[in-house]
Amino acid sequence: MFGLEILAKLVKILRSAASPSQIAAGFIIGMTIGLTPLWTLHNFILFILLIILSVNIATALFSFVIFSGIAYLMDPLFHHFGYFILVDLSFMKGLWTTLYNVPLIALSKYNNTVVMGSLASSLLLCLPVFLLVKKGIIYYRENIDTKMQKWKIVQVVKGSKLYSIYQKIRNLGD
Amino acid sequence: MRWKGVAFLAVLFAIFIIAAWLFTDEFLENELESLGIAVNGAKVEIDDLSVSFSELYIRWKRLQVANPRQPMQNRFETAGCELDFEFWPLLSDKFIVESFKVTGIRTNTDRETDGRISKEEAAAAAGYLTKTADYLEEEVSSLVAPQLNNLKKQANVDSVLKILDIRSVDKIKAATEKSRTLFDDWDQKLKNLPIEKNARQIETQINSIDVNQLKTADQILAASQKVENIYTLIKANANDLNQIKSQLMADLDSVRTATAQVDNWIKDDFDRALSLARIPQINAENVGKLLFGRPVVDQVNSYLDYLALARKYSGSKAEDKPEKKSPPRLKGQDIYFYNKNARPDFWIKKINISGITESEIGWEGLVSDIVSDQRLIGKNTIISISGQKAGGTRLALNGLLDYLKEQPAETFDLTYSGFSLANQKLSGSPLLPNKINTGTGSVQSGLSIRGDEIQGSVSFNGKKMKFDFSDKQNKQGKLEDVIQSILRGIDEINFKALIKGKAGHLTFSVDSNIDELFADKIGAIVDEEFNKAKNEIQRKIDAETEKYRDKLNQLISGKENSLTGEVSDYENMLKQELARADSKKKEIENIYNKEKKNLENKVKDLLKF
Repeated sequence: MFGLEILAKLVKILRSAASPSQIAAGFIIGMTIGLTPLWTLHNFILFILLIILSVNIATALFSFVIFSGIAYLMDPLFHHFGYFILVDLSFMKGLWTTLYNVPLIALSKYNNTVVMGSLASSLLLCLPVFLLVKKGIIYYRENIDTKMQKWKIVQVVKGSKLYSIYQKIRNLGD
Repeated sequence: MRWKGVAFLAVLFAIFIIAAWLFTDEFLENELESLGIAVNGAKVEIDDLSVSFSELYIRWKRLQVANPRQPMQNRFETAGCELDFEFWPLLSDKFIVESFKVTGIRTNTDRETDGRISKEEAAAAAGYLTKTADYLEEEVSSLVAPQLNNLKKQANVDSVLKILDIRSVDKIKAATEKSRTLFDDWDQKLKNLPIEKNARQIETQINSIDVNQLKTADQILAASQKVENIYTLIKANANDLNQIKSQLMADLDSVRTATAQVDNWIKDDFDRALSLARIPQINAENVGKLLFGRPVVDQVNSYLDYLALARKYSGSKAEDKPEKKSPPRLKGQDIYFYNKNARPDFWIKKINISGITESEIGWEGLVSDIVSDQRLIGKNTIISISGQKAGGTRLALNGLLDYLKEQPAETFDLTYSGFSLANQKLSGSPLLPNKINTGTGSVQSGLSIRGDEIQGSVSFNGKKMKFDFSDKQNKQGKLEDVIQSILRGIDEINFKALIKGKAGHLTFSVDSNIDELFADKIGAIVDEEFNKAKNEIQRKIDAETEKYRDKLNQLISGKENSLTGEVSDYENMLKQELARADSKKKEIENIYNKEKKNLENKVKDLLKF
């Protein structure tokens, strides 16, 4: 049931009025918040951006949930990656030392291996994931959505009383 | 831009500000208490904390820091305190305090509640200084001081034996049972031996040879062969018997060895009884520790506890290449970046402190530069405290915490002079049970720690001392009499305690001007009591074990005789048969010789013709 709910939510997002760029932007913001430890300065900034920019919040919530789980599994890798960036990359030491004493940056917990490892991974993934999600949405809307609407199961569900009640309730909320 | 979102954030921000205004004091109080507990290893309680980010201060009305070693006491408590901090460093995750005023410090005050925390919270790794403190605790605790109370009550041998499980009785019983089983087996084995039956058969065979019936050479030869067979049979039986005899002797030896263990078992019980009785040994080497060890150790340990904290939190955390750890999931490892031009993460520039000692001496002082990394400010932490009281009592404490160099180093000097000893007890030692009526004292102590090498001394001098014997009138004993006579004869006590060494190789010694007196006089009483108790314990253990021991000895000696006797009987039987066989052989030989002679004569007669 949980899998179906996720699928339904995903389809709903894909079919929403939001543009592919808005959905992809929401997705990468949610991904970054999900992959990195929650109570950090950059997540605070991302949260503000999510609220004030016209990005899709539902997508962000969706990807946040998914990537939080992934982050838990990937934690040891983030720790090793963060340690590599903070300690093993000796040419970066000067930068980290300077940042350590810059107001506000010092509060970002960038000197924590998991924060650094997960944030760096998120940043590396941002552009490819953004482009991939955006292209995927365009492809879905152009090629898959019309075909899906013609599926018998979708027709049956849409024709059911339960669906019409659900539609009415949803419209009440708008 | 999503304007509804901006409005939502504005509302959220307003709620945050209101919540911060309402709850910051409580939140910060809890946070500081948690931090204090983590640092102190016991409860830290702050009353009525208030914080202002506009005026940049934190105040509280009372602070209690529990002593982890004595949780119903505070290490110290304060009255009102106020610290002024800088705002901008907070944005760099740094806490810089310009000035900190702490008033009404009192040490070792009683607590209303238990200051202990859970074991999990307290399970911080013990550092070198904590271990040193534990070593000194053990040095004093393992001394005879607590045991002397037992001695004064007259070592109760019965109560010692009551808790002593005399193991030798069970061991002797088990050895008896084992021996009995062995002997029963041997009884059965010897009873089933076919020697007697074989001897009878041999006898029948010997008797069946009737030499009078031997007429022909063939008959003589056959009889001779029969005798040879009988010899073989006797020899086989004798061999079997010898083997069995060897086995029996080996088993008897093992039983005798087990019996010889009985003395050791009884000795083990005796030794355990002595250790339970905790009968002390008093000599010139340990009497100093016994007399004055406790107050010295308490004083040094309070220094060491504070220094362990200082080292833990003042040491530099920045390393060129920090070791990679395995932190818990989602926690990560913090990497520190040292910058000699930066400000430290934590820095209290100066603390003005004032308080009152347990003996009501008002004091005040200054502690400067408590800092997370001394290298960043290039200064040591300096402690300077002094106080005095009408009547010439003076107190001065100076300390230096030097974490600028490769090896951390700390030095402390305390001078406390001219204080009254009236109504004081010199130490908790049962050898110095009496309060002092009059007298003045002075203490000079110094402690220097460099890396893991410690060197410290505590000197005490008490003058014009008169002891109070009034509360001892009704409970006079031999020991009290001697202590009283020693104390009546002296009016001055000096002692000097020395602690020095490295981790794992510490030496702690205390010498005083009354060591010899106490060691000689009290040592003699203790020796007398010791010997009395020793003999009594030995007598009671012997009485408990004697009957079982006798039973075992009787069993072994009785059975040894009967079993070896039985084997001897068998040997004799075979010897008798051998003698019979010999005699029969002789008879056959005679017949043979006679027949031979007859034949020779007959041949000679024939040759004459």
